Amino acid sequence: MTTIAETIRAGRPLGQDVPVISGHTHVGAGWNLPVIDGSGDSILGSMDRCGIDISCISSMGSLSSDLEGGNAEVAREVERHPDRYIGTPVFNPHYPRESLRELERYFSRPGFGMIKVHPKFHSYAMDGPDYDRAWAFAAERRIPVLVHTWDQGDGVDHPLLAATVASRYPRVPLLLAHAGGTPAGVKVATTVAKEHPNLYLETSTGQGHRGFIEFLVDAVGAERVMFGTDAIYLDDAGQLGRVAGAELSEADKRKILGGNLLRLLRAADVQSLPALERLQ
Amino acid sequence: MTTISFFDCNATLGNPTALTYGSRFPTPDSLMKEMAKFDIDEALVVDFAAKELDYKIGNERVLSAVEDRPALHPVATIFPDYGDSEDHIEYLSRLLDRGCRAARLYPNAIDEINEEYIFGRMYPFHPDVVGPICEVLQERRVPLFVEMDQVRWDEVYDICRNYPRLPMVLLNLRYRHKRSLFAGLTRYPNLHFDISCYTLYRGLEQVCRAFGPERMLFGTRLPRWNALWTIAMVMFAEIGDADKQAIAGDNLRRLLAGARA
Repeated sequence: MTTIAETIRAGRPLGQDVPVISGHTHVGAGWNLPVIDGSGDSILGSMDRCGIDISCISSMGSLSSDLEGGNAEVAREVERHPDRYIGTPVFNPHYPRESLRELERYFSRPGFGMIKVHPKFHSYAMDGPDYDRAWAFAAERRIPVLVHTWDQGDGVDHPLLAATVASRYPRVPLLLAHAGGTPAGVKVATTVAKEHPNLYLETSTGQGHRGFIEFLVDAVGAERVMFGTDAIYLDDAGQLGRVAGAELSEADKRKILGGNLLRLLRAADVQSLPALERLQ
Repeated sequence: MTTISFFDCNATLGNPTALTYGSRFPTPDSLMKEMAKFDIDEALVVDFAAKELDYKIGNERVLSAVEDRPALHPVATIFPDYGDSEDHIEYLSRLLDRGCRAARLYPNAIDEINEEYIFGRMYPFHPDVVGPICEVLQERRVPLFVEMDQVRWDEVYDICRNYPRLPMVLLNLRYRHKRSLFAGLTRYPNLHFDISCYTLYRGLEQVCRAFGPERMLFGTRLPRWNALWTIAMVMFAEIGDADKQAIAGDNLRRLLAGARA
């Protein structure tokens, strides 16, 4: 039987028996970062080649200066490809009322299953009061929230701040994007995740450290580590390769690549998520 | 799909000063075992000692490691040590005569984990300092490898311009370097780069479209990086098999074959 690592090494997409969900994918453009093609069709092509079944997409526009336009862009892509995309509207704490309206608008529709917040891009501390509306909204519905974390930074996205949020909102499944990022940040992220069962660690980064995925699993167990690509910045294939190439059991890799996020999305009290039906 | 043969341009032996997640290959055979795990056929190797201890000690360790291991190829690490008992240019020539077909410079001492300078700059990557080294390498067509966090782009452009027949290879480029990279690739045909850290979404495809595959070299950054990370980027890229093979190994083989003893 061919292993996950052997399949990826051969350049073949993983089959239907290994569901793959990226919990961290973007569309569009923002911050003048060097995006080559941020269209939904481009991402779909990459997902097909790599065997990624579903991507949870947020808009780079919403993460910069176009909150509503970016979320609308996501809605269009979800509408066009409801079997492949799950919508992830952005909450910007500088526009808390407008952001809450956006959440209410999109979570009244099918196809939306996650919320994205980015303390670094929005220059606002993760545990600051203007995020409260987002946490409360998510807590009421058990909606997973993907929050950017990186190193020890300037303090707004330090993974230590996630402990405060996790304590105050234990019903919110909080996915720490990049799992803290740098080795120093990862140490903090794993430490706080051990103490808070509603914290999860997302695997995408531009740093391909050997042993990183194994380190996360050793710290919190495979059940709380989740695959993400951070496309359209990072290449889908590389992110898949680092999980496939980790020294882990096939069962653990399956959990990380899709099983864990599937469990959280199914538990969320949201409208229907047609994309999940392909994994029945 | 045809079989793609990988030749790694960016692997390091030995014991690093600081470990990330415990990853290291203290012996040549432990690196070879990892290469076998992912079907990597050959690797160009340096030793952490050359970067972090003493380059002459590191060079001897590398030359020893490659003995009887034809899959491993030695890289000469050189510092511009003027006034030493053995002139650094003579020392470099001796390394090339002993079989090194590639060279590395480390203008900075970098803490690889935190990506910060340990001492600040050791010397500028400038013709006044490294010019004699570049002249020797250019004369013998030996590719020069430098890590992108050790140099500045204006320095890279200057060296490429001043030594147009010197094959220059940048290691560890990040996606945020894309614009500077494209400017350099446009102006300097002797500029190449290793893809181990160039993780930009569809990045390899874009370089192929703009410049062809010839300027990209497969690298793993072992033992720091997971090898399947870069292998997957090549294998899943939306490019033809011939382009994949060029990136995976043939471009590096071509550069090394062009180096003169």
